[in-house]
Amino acid sequence: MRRLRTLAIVAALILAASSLTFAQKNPNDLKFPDLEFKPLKPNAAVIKSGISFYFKEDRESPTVSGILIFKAGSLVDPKGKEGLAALAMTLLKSGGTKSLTPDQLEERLDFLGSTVGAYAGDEYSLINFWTLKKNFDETWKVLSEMLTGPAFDVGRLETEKLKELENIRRRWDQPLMVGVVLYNELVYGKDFPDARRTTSESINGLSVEDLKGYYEKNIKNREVIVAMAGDLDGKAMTALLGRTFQGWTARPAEKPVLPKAALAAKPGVYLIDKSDLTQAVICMGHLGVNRLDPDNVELAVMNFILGSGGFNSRILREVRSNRGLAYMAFGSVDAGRDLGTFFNATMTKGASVAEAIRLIKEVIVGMTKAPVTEAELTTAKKYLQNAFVHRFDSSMAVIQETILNKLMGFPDDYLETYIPRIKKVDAAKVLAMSQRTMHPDQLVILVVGKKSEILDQLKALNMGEVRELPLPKQ
Amino acid sequence: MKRILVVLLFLAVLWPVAYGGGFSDKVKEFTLSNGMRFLVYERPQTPTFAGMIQAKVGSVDEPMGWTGLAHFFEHMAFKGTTVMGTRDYAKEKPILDEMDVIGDQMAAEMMKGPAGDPAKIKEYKAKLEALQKEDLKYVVKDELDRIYSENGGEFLNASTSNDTTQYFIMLPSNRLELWFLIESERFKNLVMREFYSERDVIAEERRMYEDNTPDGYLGEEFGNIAFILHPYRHSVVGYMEDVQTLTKAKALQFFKTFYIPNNMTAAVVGNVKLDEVKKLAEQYFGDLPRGSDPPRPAFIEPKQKGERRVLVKFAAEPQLSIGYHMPAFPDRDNLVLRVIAFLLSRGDSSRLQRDLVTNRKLAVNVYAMANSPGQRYPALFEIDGQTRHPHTPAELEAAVTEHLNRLKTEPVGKEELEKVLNMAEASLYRTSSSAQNVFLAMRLLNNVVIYGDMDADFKRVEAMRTITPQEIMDTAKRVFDESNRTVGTLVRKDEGGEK
Repeated sequence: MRRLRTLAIVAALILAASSLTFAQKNPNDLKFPDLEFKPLKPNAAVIKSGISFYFKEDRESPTVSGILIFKAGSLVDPKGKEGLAALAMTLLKSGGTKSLTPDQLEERLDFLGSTVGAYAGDEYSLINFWTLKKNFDETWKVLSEMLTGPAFDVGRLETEKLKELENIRRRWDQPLMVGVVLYNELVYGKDFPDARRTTSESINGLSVEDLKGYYEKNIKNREVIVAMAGDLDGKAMTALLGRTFQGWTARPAEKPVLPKAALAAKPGVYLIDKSDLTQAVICMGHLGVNRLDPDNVELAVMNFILGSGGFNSRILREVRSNRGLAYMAFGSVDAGRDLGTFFNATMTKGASVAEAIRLIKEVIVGMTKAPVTEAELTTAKKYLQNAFVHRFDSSMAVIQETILNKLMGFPDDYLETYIPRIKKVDAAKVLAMSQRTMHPDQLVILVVGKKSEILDQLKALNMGEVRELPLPKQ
Repeated sequence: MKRILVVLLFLAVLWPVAYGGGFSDKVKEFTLSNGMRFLVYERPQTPTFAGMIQAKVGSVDEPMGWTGLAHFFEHMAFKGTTVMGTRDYAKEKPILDEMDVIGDQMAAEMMKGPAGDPAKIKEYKAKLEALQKEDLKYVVKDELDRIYSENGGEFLNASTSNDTTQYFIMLPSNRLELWFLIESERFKNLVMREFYSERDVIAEERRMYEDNTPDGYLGEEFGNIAFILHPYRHSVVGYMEDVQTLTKAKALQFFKTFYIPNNMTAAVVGNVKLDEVKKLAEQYFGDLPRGSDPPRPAFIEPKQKGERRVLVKFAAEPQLSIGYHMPAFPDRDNLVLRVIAFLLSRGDSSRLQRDLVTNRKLAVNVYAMANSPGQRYPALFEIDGQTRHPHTPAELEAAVTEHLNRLKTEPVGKEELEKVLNMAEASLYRTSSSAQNVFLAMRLLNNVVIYGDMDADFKRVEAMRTITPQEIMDTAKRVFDESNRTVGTLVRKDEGGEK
């Protein structure tokens, strides 16, 4: 029966294949004016010195969501205590509060159908929440207790530590992660704050006192940025925040003293053997730029053409579209806290590793040798101008743009001047940017894959010495 | 800008409890005479909109030997038309035709399996590559992407699941007509150029998601044994062997069969006007002729009579998948099992999360879901978990089974049931902080295309309120039976596995 049914479907498919003709329409014939979109702004209020509040009232759905941002994160983890900020933030919630045991706290939030999470990033930490409007008061009560009276339950710390130890064991299970993590380590160096990672020793060494210390030093009584969107009353919310933060002194965050980035690895080719892989991961580049780089619009246009513009970018076009060597391929010079990375990546079968590397390098060299074409420039600029509006497509997105702007230290008129500045970018400026930020002779090329398929290809590449690296234990 | 603010204020008054009973008070629907349905949700907050077209065709509609075709076709739908993506289609066409002749010969040779002649295959490959180079003289690369991007298109993509295929984008709202033009053209005058190089791209996509990650590696073998007959057994991307031998003719037939207006539904969500959408829909999609209703998989998965197990070895830490066959919507058990998934693993206080992850620390993740891998046909109730060393998949499996047995014998308490219903209700109102229009479009289309009712998810939560503790026990007894179970385990290669 099974076979017969399959044949019946095939027959039906064949019968359906009759021919049709339609008038042909060319989308190039439709012209639209470029968008002169003015960025949207949230409402803002100062609760007190050090506590700022951004909000948007939006009554489309009976919900309220929000974020509380603290200006400290894992970059301040002392050496040997990697994972401290992350665990401290996790425990703000999972460790319970003075009046709620961890079990009770979780039970309470689940019963309300609300979500509250606490996380540490590199530079910032945050608590976010989402709730139905009708449960806002109850949810906020739990959140404020987490904030002002966390209990750091010892049993829960043990659970979270064991989870993190298991995550370390699982760190190299996804090939792409191996490439990304170890590429960062090569470029920044193992001990650079942006490249450090947890170890079983650092996790095992963390105590409740460490976590409490982190909270006392970096969260409690520090400045906070609060953002909320949804079915809320701005005035009432401002008053509520006044009460929540009444005794909170809101001192400015300490600015950590961090080292300056310098390319740590020698340019050349690095190979990590993972003999089970049928597809290799390639990560290549060097250091990037600072996020306050004044030429950020030139950078955006350049990156779009280089490798962040999907099918309009040279890397995806060459590696995927023209040659079918990969599904994923991209590249960009990233603007970072100190210096970001120049990061290009793709995944391709073992036999085509050298070809993919050669193509990406050719694209990089090409960007530095000749101006981009007028057509490429037009596409990139039109995209950046006309797609700008999407950055403001929800109330929370509008708030996030404004807050991000402040946190990154961009000028106040950054968003207002974005489109006018994009319009002024020309091919000469993009070329200058490429020459300043991309250095083909400095490329660090990391390949994770099956050595027996790849090593000879890499040696024949002539892109510097091929060094084999062991896959680190953790 | 002013206009928008006024509208916002107006909305605030008009819709004090928007979303009240679902979408139907805000979303308008119309159907063209050829059967193509449109859902229009006017959300004027930002001058943007999301457009999504969903075809009711997924990997479940692929005949055996044609696996991966729904997804393959989705890739081809980005390759342009007779005027888009080409400098001169008349000159291009003979090259494309010649490529297809060689492509068919190559597929035929490959279909011989080990008896096929590798030298011949190599020769065909070389010919295809040479012709592809020739074709590139006429191809305007990725023009669809370029036009959309220049017009501020964001989130341009498509996705194929076991059940459906959808094409979507966000655009500034004054580009509504552009969306209609491009989307209608890609289904009217499609040219599947670059077919053979795209096959290599899909092979790499398969290597990336299925062959070189533990989830994909286990998931594929798990599906292969959990289903004996039903096409939910194969992955969306398809078997490498099938993908390598798919031909243009097969893709074309698939296209003609399933991409007909009466099998397609569109959602337009954002700052658009119903009248304008109607006018453009008629103008651009009205002349697509209705087709005959597509054939649907006519397979009823035979009742499982004994437990099935598969052990795969991979260079990664262990993980476990357990599946039980379950009925599809509208069977009452389907609804009950959705509630059971909430009980087991939604939220930190859920049973598996609390007991197995937090307290006993057997696992770092455990997740239960109904309707895996699809919702159109009977599928699996699936529990996936990642163990915590030194605990083994066998220990985790035993602990999960304890919980499933408990559901059979111990009535769920009133408060726990209420908690789960609260969570289910809240989930109806969750939105992302960006690209909301896209996610709303997806949700609407799922409701309409799979369940035939734009308020399906709201009504589902309403129906959940009628479930009794006794019903949960009865369903658990029916479904969580050892002989209805499939267990897939992944263990690290060099550790030799476990008994």
